[in-house]
Amino acid sequence: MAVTDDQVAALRALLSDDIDRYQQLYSGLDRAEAKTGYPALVTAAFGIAVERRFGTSYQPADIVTFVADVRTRSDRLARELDPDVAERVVQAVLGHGTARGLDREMVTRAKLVLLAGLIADARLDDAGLDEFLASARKLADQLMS
Amino acid sequence: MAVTDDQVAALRAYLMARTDLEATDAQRQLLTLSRTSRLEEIGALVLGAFAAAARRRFSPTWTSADVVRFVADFRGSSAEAASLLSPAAAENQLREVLGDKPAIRPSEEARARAQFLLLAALTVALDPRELDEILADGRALADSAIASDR
Repeated sequence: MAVTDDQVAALRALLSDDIDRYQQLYSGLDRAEAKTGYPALVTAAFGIAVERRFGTSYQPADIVTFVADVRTRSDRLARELDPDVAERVVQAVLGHGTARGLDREMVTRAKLVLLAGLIADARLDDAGLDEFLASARKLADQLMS
Repeated sequence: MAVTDDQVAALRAYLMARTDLEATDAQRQLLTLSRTSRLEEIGALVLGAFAAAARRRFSPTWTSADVVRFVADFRGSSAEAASLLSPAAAENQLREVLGDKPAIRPSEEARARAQFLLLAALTVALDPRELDEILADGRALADSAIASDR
């Protein structure tokens, strides 16, 4: 099974902050495919975005500050995004610790919210977002093969 | 029982410590007191002082973002602070003493650690007179809590 065009389009809508279109596209995804392809696409996109943002020369404080910055963007985010979970999923991508043992739904939610924050901060234009999603799709397909 | 002068003095010495040597001495004093006096009073004093310091810092109004930023600034100050203090527990304890009713309750150890570390963070820039005010308010809160628990 591979990532589908519809799954990429749904994630693209989310990362473009077009929430209505995202909800419409996400609800139209094939349920069986969405259980494997879409999470793999989100995980791959999150991993690439974290590595691009933090690289290899980062301090623990950079992760703390980033997570706090995303959470202060709204009261809802401050309440709903658990900072312990958020920091752990970022650290796990960078090779420190693991997200094992965390609630799967919380991990997925944290990745989506942080991914949206990372992409918003990166200020990608349409071509940049397309290039980013193409890289994420390629990585997701590799992860699932 | 009520909070004693020795307990207040030990906590004051810890919060005023500015060198490793002073901090080590103050920690030893607190440890000695925790063995020779009731832990309940020391815990109540720390919680009372923490509540007084938090209310002073965040009054008259505060937002979720203020709490998130304060905790993040402290945890971002060193790798040790980041690893020692859970952000969720820290924010939970701050919100609680500011009058919010958090949905979750961290473990007793996480609560105690958050109160102690945040108290130090909240008071680090205070002058001795301001710290004494916080400790006096904290002692009164602690004595009241101990009395109502009886």
